[in-house]
Parts: sequence; C-alpha cells; structure tokens
Amino acid sequence: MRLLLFTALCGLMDAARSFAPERGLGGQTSGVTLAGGFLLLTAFLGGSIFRDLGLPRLTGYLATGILVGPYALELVSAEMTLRLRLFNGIAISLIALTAGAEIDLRAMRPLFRTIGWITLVAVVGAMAALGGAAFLLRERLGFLTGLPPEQAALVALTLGVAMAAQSPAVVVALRDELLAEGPVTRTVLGVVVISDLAVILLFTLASSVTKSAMGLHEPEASGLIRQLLWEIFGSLLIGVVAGALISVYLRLVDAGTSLTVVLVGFLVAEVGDRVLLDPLLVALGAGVFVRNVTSYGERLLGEIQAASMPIYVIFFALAGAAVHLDVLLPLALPISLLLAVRGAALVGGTHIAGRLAGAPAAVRRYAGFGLLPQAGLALALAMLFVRTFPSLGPEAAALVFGVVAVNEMVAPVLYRYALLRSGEQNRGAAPAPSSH
Amino acid sequence: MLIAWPASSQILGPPDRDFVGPPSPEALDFVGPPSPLPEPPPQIAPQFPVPNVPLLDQELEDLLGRANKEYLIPSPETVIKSIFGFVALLALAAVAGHPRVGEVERKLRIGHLATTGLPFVLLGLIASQPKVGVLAPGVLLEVAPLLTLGLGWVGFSIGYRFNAQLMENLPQGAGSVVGLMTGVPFVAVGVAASLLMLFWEDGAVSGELLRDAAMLGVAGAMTARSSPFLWRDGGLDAEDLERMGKIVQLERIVGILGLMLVAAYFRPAGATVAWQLPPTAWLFLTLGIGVAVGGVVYAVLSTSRSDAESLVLLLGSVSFAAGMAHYLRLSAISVCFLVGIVLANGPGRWKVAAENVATRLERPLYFLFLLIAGAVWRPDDGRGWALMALFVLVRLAGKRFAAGLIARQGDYEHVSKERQWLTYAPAGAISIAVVISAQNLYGGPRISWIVTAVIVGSILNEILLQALMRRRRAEAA
Repeated sequence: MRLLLFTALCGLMDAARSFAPERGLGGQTSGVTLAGGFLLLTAFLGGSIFRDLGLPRLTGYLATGILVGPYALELVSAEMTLRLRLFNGIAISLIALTAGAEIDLRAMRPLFRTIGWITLVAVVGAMAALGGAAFLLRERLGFLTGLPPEQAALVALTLGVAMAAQSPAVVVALRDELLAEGPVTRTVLGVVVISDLAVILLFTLASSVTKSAMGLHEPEASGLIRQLLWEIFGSLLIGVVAGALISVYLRLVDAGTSLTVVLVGFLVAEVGDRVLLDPLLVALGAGVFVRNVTSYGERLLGEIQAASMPIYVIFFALAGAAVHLDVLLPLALPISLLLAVRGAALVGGTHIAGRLAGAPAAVRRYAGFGLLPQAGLALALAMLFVRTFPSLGPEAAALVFGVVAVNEMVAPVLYRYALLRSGEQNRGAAPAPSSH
Repeated sequence: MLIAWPASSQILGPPDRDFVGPPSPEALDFVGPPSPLPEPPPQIAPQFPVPNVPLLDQELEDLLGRANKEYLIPSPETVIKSIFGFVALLALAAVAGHPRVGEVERKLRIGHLATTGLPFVLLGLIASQPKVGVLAPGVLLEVAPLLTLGLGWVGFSIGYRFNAQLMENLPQGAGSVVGLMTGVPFVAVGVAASLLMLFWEDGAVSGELLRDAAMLGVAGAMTARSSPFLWRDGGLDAEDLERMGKIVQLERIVGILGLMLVAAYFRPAGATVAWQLPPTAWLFLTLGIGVAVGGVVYAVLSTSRSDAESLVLLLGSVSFAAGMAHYLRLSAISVCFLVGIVLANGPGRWKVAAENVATRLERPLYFLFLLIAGAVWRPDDGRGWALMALFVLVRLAGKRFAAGLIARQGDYEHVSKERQWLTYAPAGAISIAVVISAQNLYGGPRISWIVTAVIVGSILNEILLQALMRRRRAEAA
C-alpha cells in the first residue's frame, strides 16, 4: 500500500514538473512549497517502508531523498533543494538543542572518563588514521599527486578531520526511534557531542595551517585567534543567554511553545551564522543550560519532539537528495578503503578506550557503532572543505562526499543493530510533549 | 504623505536570490558543490489574455533600476534586523490569533478585520518602510512559499468544514440568495473597477486588467464569517444566525469557485510553460488535481499511526497540494479546498486532530496575510483610494440591489428579517485571502490598489455596519 502511494505521489510530482521548464516557471517559489510537501510525504512513506523492513526510518528518509533527488529521478531539482536549505539550519539548531538538553552533567559524571578516552583514542585516532590513509593513497588521488609531500600531508590531515565527524542527529533520532536508554546510548551521545566540538576546533586549526602552507590567503594570526575565540566562547556564552531566555519563556507560557522552539531554531541558525557564531555551539550551550541549570529540560525535549518531526524528515531527505551519485563510482576504491579505515579506527578505538577507562563490556563492544553515522556536521565540513580549497578540484569534494554519503546510508543501520544487540531498546520513555 | 514609498514594494514574486546574504556552509547544498544560480528565464512578451507572469529576474532588474542597492542586497545588520523583526511579527500574529482574542471580539460584537486586523495592516505598512526594512521586498520574496502554504491551508480549512450535511436542511430559496448575493456584487464591482482602471490606463484593455478586476469582484462578493455575530442585536435568534452562517459558508464556496475560474481563464502561456491547454481544460484540470491529490492524501493519512504522524502528513499534504497548484499557476485556495472536501467526507481517526489544527492556524494565518497586505500597500497612491470608494459604494449598491431582487422573487421567506444583514454585511477574511492570492499568483502594480480597496473598504464597511447597529439599538431602546 505504502509503495503504491509512494509511486502515485512520484507520478503526480512528475506530471507537475513537466508543466514548466526548469529555467522557466519551474524554478521559482512555487517549486519550494511543492518540493517541501512532496519530500515530506514521500520521505515519510519511505521511512515507514524501511521501518516495516526492520531498518531505521531515517535511512528511509535518506534513501527517498537520494531516489527522488536531482541525481536519480530528478523529481526534486537541485534548485529546489537549494531553496529548501532553511530547513537544514533549523534542523541543525534543533538537533544541537536536543543534544544539549540530553546532556545531564550530573547523570553523565560517571561516564566522563569513558567519554574522554573514547574521544581521545577513537575520534582523534580516527582523524589521524584517515589522514594517514589519504596520504598513503595519494597516488590514487589526483588532487594530492601534484602537491609536495608536506602539503599533501596537511591536506590529507584536514580531510581526515572532516571525515571523522559524527552525527548527533542520527544518534538522537535512532535513540528516539528505539526508545533506547542505557550506558551505550548515553556514552555515544556524550561522545558525539564532545567530539563535534573537537572536530570543529581541529578542522578550523588544520585548515588554517594547510592554507598557510599552501600559500592561500589567510588573515593575521591574532585575527584568526580572536575569530576562533569568539566563535567558540562567544557561541557558548550566547547559548547560555538563549537557554536562560528559553527557560523564562517556558516558565511563563504553558501552551503552544512548540512553534516558539522552531522559531528559536530559526533565529539561532540564521542570526548566529551572520554574526560569525557557530549555531551548533549556540544551540548546544542553550540546551545544556536548560537541562542542567533549570528544571525545564524534559519539557524542552518534549516541545522539540512535538515540533521537529516534519523538520527532521525534510532535513534527512534533503541530505539524501544532495548526494552526488555520479561521482561515487570513479572513486569507489579509495572511498571503500577510507570507509574501512574510519570504521576500524572508531570501533577499534572505542574498544581500546573502553578498556582503558574500565567501561562496561556493552559500551566497549557497541558504542563504536554509534560513532559511525554521519550527516549534518560532516556534510557541512565537507562543503567547507570544498569552499576552502577550491583549487583541489571536484575530486577532493567527491572523495569526502562519497565517504559521508555511504556512512549516511549504511551507518544508521549498523548503529540500530548495535543498540538492539546491547538490549537498550524500549528502556527509555519518549519525552512528554506539552499537554496542549 | 511624508514617507517615501518604494516603487518596488508591490512586488511579491518568486525569489531567485538569497535576501539574507551569502548562505552559510551548513545552509548550502550539503553534498557537492553548490548549484549555480538559475539563468534568467526567456523573456516572452505576454499575449492577450496572458497575464504578466512574475519572472523573478525581470523583477529584480526592475527593482535594481528603481531602488537603492542596500535596500535590495542588505548588509548583515539589516538582515539580522529583518529576521528578528519578522519573527516578532509572526509571534504577534500568533498571539492575536489566539482563540481567546477571538472570544473577546465576539463578546464586543466587532469583526476582527476592523479591530485586531487593522493594527496588523499598519504594522505591515510600517515594517515595509525602507528605514525599518523588516518587510523589505527581499523578505517578501523569501516568504512567498510560506504564503502559498498559508493560502492552501485557508482553502483546506474551508473545504474541510464543508461536509455534505451542509447542503441538507438549507432553507428554501437559499440557492438563489447565494447566487444573487455573490453574482450581482461580483459583476457590479468587476465592471465598475474595470472601467475605472481602463480610464487610468488610457483605455488599453489587457488580460491582466480584466483578471485584476475579476479578483476585486470576487473579493467584493464575499461576506465575513463573523458578520452574523455582528448582527446578534438585530432582532435575530439563534436559528436565524445559524441559517445566516450557512449562507456565508456557501458564499465562501462560490468565491473559491470564482478564484478557480479566474485562475483557469487568465493564464500564462509561451515558452515559459510546457502545457498549452485551452482555459476550460484548466478548469477541469483544477478539479482533477484537487480530487486526485485529495484521494492520494486521504490514503496516505490513513497509514499514520499517531496524531503526530497525522499532523506531519497533513502539513505535507497541504504543502504538496498548494505547491502543485501554484506551480501550475492555479489557485492554491481552490485546489486545497477540493482536497479538504475529499478528506472531510471520508472516515478517519485523524480527523479530530486535523480539525483542531485547521481551526487553530486559520486566524494567525489571516493576520500574517494582513501583515503582507500592509507591506504591499501604498497609501500615497490616490488611485487605490478612488478604487476603494468605488468598491464600497458599488458593492453596497450591488448587495442592496440583489437583496431587492430576492425580496421581489419571494421564494426566500426570511428576506424581510435579513435584508439589512444581506446588504450591509462586510467583506471578511476570505476577501483578504483573495487579495493575497492575487499578490502571490500574479503580482503587478494594481495589487496595491486592490489592497486599499478591499482592506480599507472592508474596514469602512464594518464601521458603517456598527453605526447602523448602534442606531438600531438606540431606536429599540
């Protein structure tokens, strides 16, 4: 039935798209509303079909995006996805707000040691391993062959940092989907949030050093440091202020706050970016503040959950629609090798770190799989890499996008499997939405 | 008027550029280099009766020729101000749309257009000033998809409330009441507005002029849903009010059919569209799309497992239906109205949740529409005021004439009781939706005149009605 409806919707969309040439009326605002509704419906159906097959719903959202997107059926054009980008910003803010509101520092204190070791050994180790692998593969990577070895090593290291990024979005979405709760779930969430912070910092540092080594334009060192400090500490500070305002609002208003939460996500995404703050850190700071300083953490989670479903569906479908299928095949071998290195470094590193920290067996065995999924941040860093080093050409972009795309599709399935094996599913309660 | 009105402020077409400055890496196309901006569409001279299709690049060129660059490509500070301002306006619309505010309006026996609505028109007007810059043309371009969704939601809400039972227990003669009370003002306002606009445009008949006059006629034919409540002191009992409510509901449906006709018979053509069909075929296509999308949406909604899922699907469905209608240059209100009818007349456990959301969103949406209407309003243009005077007078005369015809016919037994209501009932929120629909679908310089005519005219009409009611109350006392 769902497959039939999916096909019927695709048929209607195809009929509508035939009305106007892409460069005529077709590429205009009406396309945004049409594509938004179409992605929401088809991705939802795709997610339901995947759920029935025992796969994560969000993999269904991504697969739907790939299928109907500009690089497969072309029912949603590249212009339409570009115009729907507003959802990405809101979704990333809401994801970070959720991740922050999940971090109960008191409850997580016993996990700090494990989280620290995993971040150091698995995440930073994966960055080094991926950088090293890319450097060793330089003969097969055209964009590195022409560079002197030291420059090639720095570019490879920057790539390694970008490719090591994880996805709090997928971790949160799968936890909600399976109602998972336990040491594996909590450790993974803590690691992906902390390591996102580390990835942002290290990527900024690595790309700055690489740009200098390659003789690309770079601001003065003092300016760069000021900018970095503002981006990190300014974001966290503004996040705390935002968290305080959210708490006051939640105390004063007891109905219809879901829409307000979306507006907060919109403000953080749109304004934060324009004042050189990191929207991810702002929202994270706000979430951590609300959870740990006030008593509205659960309420905030409930409000986000009530409002975020359509935004997440479109966000993941858009992420799928943006996957360039055409560039994956020529780079299949290096991408496969890098995927293997990343997987081994994260899963193996987590195991070693777990041992060092004395973590429970389930954490040692399964937490590494939670570090595999990639989505928002990894894609954003991949995009940033392309923009920072345009001279490296489309092959460099294709390599990063290829790794991210495969992880987008496959890793959620693996993490879901790991959560089921760890026995943590159905142990948590869904955050209670507002009574109104 | 001391304020300098931007000549471009009437434009609300589709955006082809980001008004909010360069996009962030996260905000860009995630995987792969960003797509190049679309090339300008081929510029085809419209043929009669082809209306002026809003092609963004042409509009931007026009804008660049008429407005200063900062106004069009704003600085980050301006953008941030716009974002905060727009969010604040949205929040105000949400607060004013709260059911409790509606209850207060009903208690005070005032329609929301003249009370809560008027400040929104003024706010929109102020927010569109270059010095304020919150609802700058770029912002209006950017929120155009939201308007399409909003219009679709309004159409859906009306269709969703229209179930087959409405047609039962209608008083005898109600059909001719609705036909005359909508048909006569439609023709009268449409013809009078055409003549006046023809006079201003040196007698040059164009499809666009006729289309805009027809839209004004549709707006003039409508009656406010709250108007029976305004009449509570007019010696009418609850049964009378219920009957009047049904007539208003039927009038709204006729208005939506009018929009359907206008969209079908005044269409773009040329190389910018691939489907070249005769207008009547577009009428059938509108009906077909509404019913087909409604059927698919109904089936999709029946797969949902919770209220939250139903609401996601409902939102997606209205967005899909409205987007498809607008993509095909049809009326989003009409197509979504049909979708609403299909959904309303079948069973489904999601229906209560859908009804609640449809009702909850309707008022805030109208306030958002009023904000946009205020932003495109140019009160310094005397032609708008002249059209407003014509609109009010001709509409009243048309309604009065139609009420007289109904009385003469004699097949509607309640006419003696309701004659004044039929004559003086103000145009309501659906008329605003008609204006916004014209703005969203067609754009063009006459929109500002239509805004003045419909919105200010409706407020005047309501003031007139209040004065009449006060006199009646005094006489009764």
